[in-house]
This record gives sequence, structure tokens and C-alpha cells, in this order.
Amino acid sequence: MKAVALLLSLGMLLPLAAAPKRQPRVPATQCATCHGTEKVLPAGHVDIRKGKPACGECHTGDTTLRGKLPLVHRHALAGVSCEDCHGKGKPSAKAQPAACVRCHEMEALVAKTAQAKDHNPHADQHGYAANCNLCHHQHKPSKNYCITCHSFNWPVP
Amino acid sequence: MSDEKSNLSRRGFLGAGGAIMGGLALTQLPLDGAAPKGGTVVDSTMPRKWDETFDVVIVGSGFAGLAAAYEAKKAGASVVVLEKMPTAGGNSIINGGIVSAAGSPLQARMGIKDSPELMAKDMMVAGLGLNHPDLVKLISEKSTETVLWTISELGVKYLDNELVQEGGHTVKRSYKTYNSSGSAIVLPQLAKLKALGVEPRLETFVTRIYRDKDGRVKGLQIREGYEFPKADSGKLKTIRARKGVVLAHGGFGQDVAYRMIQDPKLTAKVESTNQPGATAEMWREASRIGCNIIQGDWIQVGPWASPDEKGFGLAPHFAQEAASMYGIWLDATTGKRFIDELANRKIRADAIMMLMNQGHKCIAFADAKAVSRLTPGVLDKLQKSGVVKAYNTLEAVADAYGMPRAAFLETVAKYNTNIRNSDPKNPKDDIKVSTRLPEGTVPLETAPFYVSRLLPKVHHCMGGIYTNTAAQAMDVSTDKPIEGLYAAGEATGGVHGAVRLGSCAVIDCLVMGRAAGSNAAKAKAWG
Repeated sequence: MKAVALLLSLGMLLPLAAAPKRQPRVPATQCATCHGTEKVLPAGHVDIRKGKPACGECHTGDTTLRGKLPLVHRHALAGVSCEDCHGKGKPSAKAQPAACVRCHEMEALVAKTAQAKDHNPHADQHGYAANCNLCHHQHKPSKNYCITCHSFNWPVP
Repeated sequence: MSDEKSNLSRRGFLGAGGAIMGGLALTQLPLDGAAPKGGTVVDSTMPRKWDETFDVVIVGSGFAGLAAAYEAKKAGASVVVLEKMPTAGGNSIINGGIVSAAGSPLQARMGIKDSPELMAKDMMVAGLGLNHPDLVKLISEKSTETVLWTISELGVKYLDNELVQEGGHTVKRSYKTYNSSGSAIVLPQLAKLKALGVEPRLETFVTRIYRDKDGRVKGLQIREGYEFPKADSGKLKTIRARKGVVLAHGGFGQDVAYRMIQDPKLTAKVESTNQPGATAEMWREASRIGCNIIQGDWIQVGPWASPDEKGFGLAPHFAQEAASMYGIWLDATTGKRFIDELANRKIRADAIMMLMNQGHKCIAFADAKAVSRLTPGVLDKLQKSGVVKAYNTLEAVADAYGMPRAAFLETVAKYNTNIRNSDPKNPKDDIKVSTRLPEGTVPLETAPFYVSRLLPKVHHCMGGIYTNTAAQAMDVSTDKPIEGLYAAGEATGGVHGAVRLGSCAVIDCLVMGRAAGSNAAKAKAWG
């Protein structure tokens, strides 16, 4: 239980940490390369160098990090590099939605969220869903853009 | 309240001080700085170089800006559309999706007699004569032609056999988009423009309009990569407009400080139907370079909104298209009607606010037949979100809203008697006297019964940049057009006067946006 509590708190800590330097081509599990000596994991956290499968051993169900951990970590742990989204060279502008839908096929997303409460966020009539960046942020906490005008309460990965 | 007042006072004080300082130092305006503090009308400092050049530069990506872009591009001009928000469409894309057209084919099919003259009269009556007749005439005359243009050229889909009668209109004349949203117009506009190679540049904030010593507007300073509402975000650049700049930046309904300068009653406590980007930066800038801003304190408060959802939401569809047209509005404290439900928006919003100030609550009420008029799917969403609630009996309605049962039953019975005793083709009611009731109005007696709570919200800025019928922005000093500057849509004033009739903004934006774009494209290029 103690381990679970620590793991839960991890999600709250990371977004508050100072913005790390972005380092292309660094394995996702090498925290220090980006974060330096800053402690970003709770004390006693298990070794994460095994990568995503190891994370999944604890972060399931109620202990999920969905909506808490910057998406860049999830992508990195899944083997997606900076270049896969930003292209070669120094990342400059935001990654374009075209990069997202290379892996996240739009129709599949629409189907996946068809039963969302109030409204399907991927089938909005304003056409906003075509711009993934409105809600899904990689380097800062994601945000439900729809609540700009509506009261929809969705967890945004 | 005290904080709001002190902030307002401080802002007002700083503004006055800035104007005095500006008068002392007019000429040294930095190329790379923010907008100047003082009251200069012309910039004596033009950029030493322009980062980019277009024939027509359009500010804003709502109905008006996109209509302007489309016409300018079709006329052969190079065009760019600048939008400060991360999404295109502004308030237009969340608009309710009804467009007025006088003497339309749909009216003819439904046997409704109408004319541009009648539409102009309706607008002028509600506008208390503050409307500029030449603009009203133009928009009314071009209304049907323009709605048909949205169908034939943009591919906009409207409901086949339904017209809406908004408050203040004497007949049903408003086409209704298939999804009850302005997105049904904006998305086709965006798609058409994309096919022509024009896509709005998002997160691009205009910080300055360059008006040269010769009086001509020559370009803009922008912040590219702007992150609303961070004033200093993004990278400064300049854009030259060889033929014209079109200001289609919309209203300021979400700008509490600016709207309180215009109308101090509209504090932060008054919610707004607008998207958050409806702020006043361009209003201030247009004033600074010498536009004549007229009627800025006529700010419309929409009477049909609900406290049970954010912003515009969907409640206005129920409260207007079902409860106003085919039902009634009630003071829940007394169980009685309190207003002509088809009166204009100001009359209704003022009446509700007055009652609210006395601690009363107001509701919109309709029966099963009335809600059958709603666009498919709308009622379902409203019920799911709890904004509209259904009841099987009139007694249950009374109990749910704390209404005295006897008074409420008597109110409904009286209305039903009025309707039952009148000609179905010309139904009459002793309270709905300002307009002709829609044909098809029947007694309210078919369960279930539906209710939404009413809360007026800041909705539309009737005032704005004074333009002529060619959509040229007029100079405050000379009453002549400012060369190189056009304006359209909610950014402009004079069309709607004191009260804008529902569905007239969309047609205003489309007619005047098209005029602005095509006239800018025709203008003589400088430099």
C-alpha cells in the first residue's frame, strides 16, 4: 500500500518539476539526462529502467497516471522519440496533428470515446478535435479545451 | 465589487495619464515595442522593413473575416487571415446557427409574406432608430441572396422546412442550420478557403495597426506564436497590407474591464455567452489609430441563457425556439408570466434582471408539442446535462420551482384559452402583442412539460467601428474613409442600434464581410 501511495504521488510531483532540458535520442528511463540531480521520483520508488512493462505492474486501475504524467513520458516509455513527432533537427514549433494520427488513427479515437459522458470529445461539431494540441499536451499537463465553453468533465490523457 | 471598482478606477486613471504622456511624445514609437501608451492617431514611424507582404490582411476568423477572405481571394488578391486564439471561428463557430433572410424561397414555400423593407423596419424598431438606415437597408436587401450564396457556393446545410422567429421579428424568417450551430457555416467557409490555399494563422495576435502620415493604413505588427492571454508571448513580426486591412475581430463580451468602461453594470458577476477570446485589444487599437467607434455602450444581454451550463450552451435553443415561440416564460415566484416572450432581447433581459434583483427566479416553459420544433438531438442533450428538466404534470412543474400551484395553473389555462379561441392561422395571445405569433401555436397541454431556468448573459456588442456601406472604416476626425482600412461584423457599429435582433448578426457579418473583402481586393495598392 505504501508503494502505491508513493506511486500515486509521483504523478502530482512531475508536472510541478522544473521544465527539463529536452534531449533527443535519450532512453526514456534515463531520468537524470533531462532532470539532472533533481529528484523526480518518490523516495523508494522501484527502478524504472526496465521501461514501460515494469511501470504497468503498479500503475493500473486506480493507480493509473493518466492525466497526471506529462504525455511525453508515456510516449518515451512506448519508444516514441522526439523526432517521431517533431521531425529531425532541434524541435521548434509544436508537433503537428499529422504526427499524432500516424499512430492514433482518428476513426479509432472517435470510436474509443463514443460513450464519453455528455459528448464525444473526438466528434465535436466545431472541428476542434482535428487539433490534438488543444487538449493533449506533451510537455505540460494536458487540459480539457472543451471546458472553455462547456461543463464537460473528462479526464484528458 | 469593491475590488472590481478599484481596478476599474486604477485602469481609468492610468489610461488618462497615458494619454497625456502620449501627447508629449508622439513621434518616437519603437518598432519592436508594444502598442504605444498615448493617443496618437497616426504612426510617424513605419517599420524599416516588412517581414511579409499580402494584398489583403484580415484580422479575425469568424463569419465576417472568413467571408472577407473568401471574396478577396476569389478576386485574385493574396490573402492572410490572422487569429489570436488556438482555434478558428471565434464566437461564430459557437453561435446558434440561425440566419435571417427576408423574402426567401423557404418563406414562400411556407406561405410567409415578408420583404427586405419589413426586415429593415423590424431592425430599426428594436434598434430604437440608432441603426444607420443605409447599412440596415443594404443588409436586408442582400439577406436572401447571401443565404442562398451560403447554400450554393459554400454548401451550408439548413433544415428544409423550419424557420425561426426570434424575438422582435414580426415573421418567421431565420434559416436554421442542420446542427443548430454556426459551425455549420464556419466549417464550410474554412474548407472553401483551404481549397483556395488560405488557412487562418492561429495564435497570431495583432499588437498594432500601422497608419502612416499620409493617413493610410499600411500594415500590422503581430505576435506569432501568441499564447492567449499572455500579452508578451510570441515573436514580433510585421505584415504589410498592399491593398487593405480588414478588421473582423469581433466584440469584447468577455473583457470585463473594457465592457465596464462602456457599461459599468456589466461586472464580472454577469456571465457571458462568448468564447474567452472576445476581448477588446483591437477596439483600443482601432480607437488609437482614429477609427470612429460608435455606440460602444450598447451591449446586448441574452435573456434565454441558463445558470445550469457555461456560456451560450444549448439552453437558448429551448428557451427561444420552443418556450418563446410556442410556450411561455414565467416568474417562478408568482407563477405568472412577466413579459411578451417574443419581445426583443433587451426588453426580456431587463425584465428578468429586474425580477432577479428582487430575489425572484424566472423559467422558460414548453410542452411536448413545442419541443418537437427543436433540432433533433438538442433536447436529448439538454436533458442529459440537466439544463432542461421534464415533468409529467403541471403540478409537478409548479412544485419543482416553488411556484404557487393555483397561480401557475391559471396562467397556463389563460394562455390556452387565448390560443384556443383564436384563428389557428393567426393565433393571438394577450401578452405576446408585439409580434405576430407563429402559425402552429397550440395550447400548452401535452405532457411531458419541459422547463429551463433563465439567466441573462452578456452576448453581443452592438457598437463598434463606424463604416460606410462599402465596409470602409471611417475616420473620427474627418468622417471620411480611412484609406486601406475596412471593417465588418461585430467589430463594427451602427447596424443594430440599441438592440440586435436574433439571427441578424450572422447576415450582417456575411454581407459586410463579403463587401469588405471584395472592396479591399479592388483597392489601389500602395508601395
